Amino acid sequence: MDLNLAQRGRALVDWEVAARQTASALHAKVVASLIQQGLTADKLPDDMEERYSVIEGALADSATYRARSLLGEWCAKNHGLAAQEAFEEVRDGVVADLDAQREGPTSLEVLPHFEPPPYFSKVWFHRTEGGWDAGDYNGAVHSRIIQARYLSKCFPGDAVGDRRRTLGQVPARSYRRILEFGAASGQFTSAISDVFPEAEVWGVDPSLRMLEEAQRVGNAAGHAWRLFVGLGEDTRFESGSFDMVTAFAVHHELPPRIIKAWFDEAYRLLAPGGVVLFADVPRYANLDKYASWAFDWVARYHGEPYWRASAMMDFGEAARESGFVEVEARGLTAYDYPHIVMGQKPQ
Amino acid sequence: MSGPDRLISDPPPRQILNPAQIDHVAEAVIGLARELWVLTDRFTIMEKVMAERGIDLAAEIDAYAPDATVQAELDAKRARLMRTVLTALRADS
Repeated sequence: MDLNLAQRGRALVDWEVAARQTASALHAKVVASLIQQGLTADKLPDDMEERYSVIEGALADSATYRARSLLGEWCAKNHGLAAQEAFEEVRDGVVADLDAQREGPTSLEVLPHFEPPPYFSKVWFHRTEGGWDAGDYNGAVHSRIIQARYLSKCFPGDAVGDRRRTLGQVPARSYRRILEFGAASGQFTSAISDVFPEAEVWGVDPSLRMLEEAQRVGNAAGHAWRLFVGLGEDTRFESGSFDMVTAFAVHHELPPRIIKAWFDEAYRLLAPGGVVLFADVPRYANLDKYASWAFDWVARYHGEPYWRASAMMDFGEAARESGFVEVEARGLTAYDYPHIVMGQKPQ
Repeated sequence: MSGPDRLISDPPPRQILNPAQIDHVAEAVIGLARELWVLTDRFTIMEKVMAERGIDLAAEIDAYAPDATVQAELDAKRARLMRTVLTALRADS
């Protein structure tokens, strides 16, 4: 679902892409220079803060690192503003269509007990000005401009394939009712319906704006998704009423205590024999120390306050603690992305 | 190596920006480069569109003399660009 931008907005977003790609290239150059100087990954400290200290000490005179940092800071602060400005330029011509796209078989309601928790409401995720839900069309802005025109070019890969491969790991080929935590703008929800077309699909997310976009996506494909503004850790849906609970690339936006609560709530919601399948970013423990530092660097400066603690969690252990059995936790690629955890509620 | 002799009319040496403002200057430079890019993108497309219609835009532009209305529009756009720089320099804080 594309959004036609006007010239200024398109050029602004193109600039952000170029800046981010340049920052990434400079980052690779910086790491290569450190390795060439003999500071190989195995010589870096295990502790992340000490690692920063060693690396930044070695880069004290590096103009390349300064430029990388400046461009990184620019992108972190400005990519969302550029996307918003691009949207405002065409707003009058698109909002009627966006509103009409919310009409259809996919429903959206706010759970009556929902209160936005501070871990969500007090964070400007990805340094989104004013907060994740601040703009009235933030779902469309994020999905159709930031995701489609910025992230997909800065981090080329097979986003759809990653989601389908993740869903391909579960043992059964058919599920009756699937619940997605952190459904956001419906990217993974679409993959769920593609892979399990017979399943009734529910989604929950604290962001009204993202779910509005998910509703448009669901309607466009003719899906009768049931979407709820709420929290994965506190759905209050009927116990044992799902046979799969899943999530993709959301856990790094959550504090560890909430991640733990998600496993507990998934266990409660699943019928005996039901499957939990969560996928997220690589575990730091499965990466070399430069790679995990690179992730941490982006998290630190780009509005990801929970990334480090989340990426250092052992999801397999968390699943077992909640009662799941036959737990598997592994990466689907050599670089551990997506990192999945899968388990079953005992029969 | 010493520099040229100071003239009596030279102002006293000074550093206007303090070190904490250096990042803001860099941000301003990137912001200006971005605006330059937006215009380069626009102008390139404008030339293509006009060429497809048989108009030599470069010659037309050189021959163009802004009237008062166009000049006021240019003034407003220039002021907007200046505000971008001042915002980056935290001139309003």
